[in-house]
Amino acid sequence: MAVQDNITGAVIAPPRRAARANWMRILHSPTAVVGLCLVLFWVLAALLAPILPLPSPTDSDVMAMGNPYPSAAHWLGTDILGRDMLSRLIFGARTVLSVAPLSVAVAMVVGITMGMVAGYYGGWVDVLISRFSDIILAFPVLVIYVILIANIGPSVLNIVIATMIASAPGIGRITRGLVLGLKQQEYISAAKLRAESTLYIMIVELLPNCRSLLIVDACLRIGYTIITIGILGFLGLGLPPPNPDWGGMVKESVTVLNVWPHMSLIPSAALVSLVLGFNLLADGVREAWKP
Amino acid sequence: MANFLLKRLAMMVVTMLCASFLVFAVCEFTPGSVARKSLGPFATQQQVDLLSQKLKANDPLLVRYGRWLGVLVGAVPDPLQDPATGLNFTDPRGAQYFGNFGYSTLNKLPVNDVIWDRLGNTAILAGLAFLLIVPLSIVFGILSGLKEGGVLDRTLSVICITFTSIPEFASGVFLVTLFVILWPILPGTSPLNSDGGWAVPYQFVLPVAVLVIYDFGYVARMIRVSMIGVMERPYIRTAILKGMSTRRMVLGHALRNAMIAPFTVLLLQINFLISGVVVTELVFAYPGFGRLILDASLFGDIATLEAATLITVAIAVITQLLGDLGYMLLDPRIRVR
Repeated sequence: MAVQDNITGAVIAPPRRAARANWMRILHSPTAVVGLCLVLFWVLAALLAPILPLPSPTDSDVMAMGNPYPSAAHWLGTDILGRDMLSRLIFGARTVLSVAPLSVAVAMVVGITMGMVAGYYGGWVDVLISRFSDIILAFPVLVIYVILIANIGPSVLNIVIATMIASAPGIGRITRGLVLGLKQQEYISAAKLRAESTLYIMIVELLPNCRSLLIVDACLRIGYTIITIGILGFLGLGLPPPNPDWGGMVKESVTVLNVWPHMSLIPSAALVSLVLGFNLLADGVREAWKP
Repeated sequence: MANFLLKRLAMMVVTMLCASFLVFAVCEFTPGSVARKSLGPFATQQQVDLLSQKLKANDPLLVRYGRWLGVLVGAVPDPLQDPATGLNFTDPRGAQYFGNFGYSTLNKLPVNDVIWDRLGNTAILAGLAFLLIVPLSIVFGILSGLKEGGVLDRTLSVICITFTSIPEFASGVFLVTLFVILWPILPGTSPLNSDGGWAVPYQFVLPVAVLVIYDFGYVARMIRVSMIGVMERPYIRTAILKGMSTRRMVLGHALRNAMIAPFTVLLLQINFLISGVVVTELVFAYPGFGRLILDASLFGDIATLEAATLITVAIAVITQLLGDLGYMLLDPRIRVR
C-alpha cells in the first residue's frame, strides 16, 4: 500500500475554496499544457469529424489502391482497401475517445465505491473486498482482457465491462488507502457528531478530499485504456469492422509493413500521441497539485 | 516465519482456485462447444452431440469444474483420453497423475507437452528484458530524483513518460520499419530457429527492445519518486553539509534507502511483463507463453487456458511473496505480524 502511495505521489487535499485556483495552476506546468494540447487536438478532431471535409472512412477509393501513398486527394494516403487514412484516423479517434473515458468512468465509480466501503467500514467488509481485489490484481491485466473479450465477444459494452473488472480493484485500493487516512481526521468526527448520514460523509466529506489523487489516476488509466483498446484491436479483438479503430488499422496493414509502412506507422503514431497527451497531463496535474 | 509462509501458500492456493473457477465460468460464454472444436468444422451435428455426451460436456458448470480439478490432482482420469471418445488422445505420462492439465484441443497434444517449452521461451525473453529494465530504470530514476524539478529531472521525466506511452505493437512497428525495412540489420521475426538465415541471438534484439521501451520508463518513475523522498531526509542534508562528494552520498547513503520501495515494484514488473509478451510474441512470431494464451483464448481451448491461468497466478503470487520477503530483508523496520 505504501508503494501505491509513492507511485501516485501522496497529495494532501487542498481546501475546497481554492478549487478554481487549483485548476488554473495546472496551466503553469509546461508538461500539463503540452499534454492538454495533445488531448484537445484529438478531442476537437473527433468532435468535428462529421463537419470536416473528409472522405468517408469506410468507402474504398479503387483508383488509389495502386498508389496508396499520401496525395492531394488523400493527405495521409489510403489503407490496403483504398480507404482514406486521415478520415479513418479521425473517426477512429471518436471511437477511442468515447470508449476509453466511458470505461474508466464506470471503473472509477465501481472502484471508488469499493474503496470507500472497504476503507470506511473496515472489518469483514474490508477483508472481503480486499481479498476479491487481490484475486483480480493477481492476473496480468492484458490476460484478463484477452480471456474476457475472446470469450464474451468484442463490443463497446464488453470493453467497458472488461475495463471495469480489470481497473476497479486498483482504483478501490487507492481509495481505500486514502479513506483509511482521512477517516481519522477531525472533520469526519465532526460530521459524525452532527449525525450526518454515512452516504453524506462519503460523498461530501471524503470524496472531494480524495479528488486530486483520483483525477491523476483517472488520467493515467484513460491513457492505459487507450493502449489496451489499441492492443485489443491489434490482436483482432477490437470493435468489429467497419468501425475504424487504431489498433485494428495497424493489424490490417502490418503484413504489408515492408511495402507500405505508412499504413501501420500513422495509426501507431496517432495512438502514441494521444496516450502521451494523457500521461503528460497526469504528470502535470500531479506536479501542480503537490502540497 | 513458517506461519507467515504457510498462510501465504494457503492464500495462493485459494487465489488459484478462485481464478481458475472465474476463467472456467467466463469460458461458458464462448460460442461453440469443446466437442465441435475437437472434431473440426466438417463433423456432423450427430457426431458432435455424441462426443459431447461422452465427454459429459453437458453437465452443470460446477460438476465439470470439479471434474477438471479432479483430473488436475490426479484423482479422476481425463474424459478426453477415454478410448471410447475415438479421439486417440493419449498422454505419455498416463491418464491419471498430479498436475495433469488435460488435453489441449488446439494443439492436439497434452497441455503439459506444450506449455512448459513455451513458458521456457518466454522466461528467456522476459528475463533478458528484465535484466535491461533494472539497471536502465535505476540509472534514470536515481539521476532524475537527485534534484526534483531540475533540468535533468525534467528531461529524463519527459523521456520516461514518452516511452511508457508507446505500447508494444507501436514500438514493434516503429522498430521493424527502422531496423528491418529501412536499414536491414535485424530480423523482423523471431521463430527461434535459424531457418530464416538469422542466428538466434539476433532474433532476441527487437522483442527485448520492445518490452524494455514500454516498461523501463514506468519503473524509472517509481524509483524517482522514492529517490526524491530520500533526498529530502535530514541525514542526506547532513551528508551534503559536511561536504561529502555527491557520488559517495548517492551510492553510499541514498541509493540503498531509495531502492526499498521500488524493489517490490521491480518484482511486480515480472507480472507486468507477462502482459507485455502477449503482444510482443504476436508481433515477432515468437513461440512463447503469451501467444499460447492468446491462441487458446481465441480458440476456446479451456484446458490450455486454465493451465496458463494457474501458472500466471502462481507467478504473480510468488513474486508478491518474494517482494514482501525482500522488503523485510531490506528494511529491518518491517516485521511480520
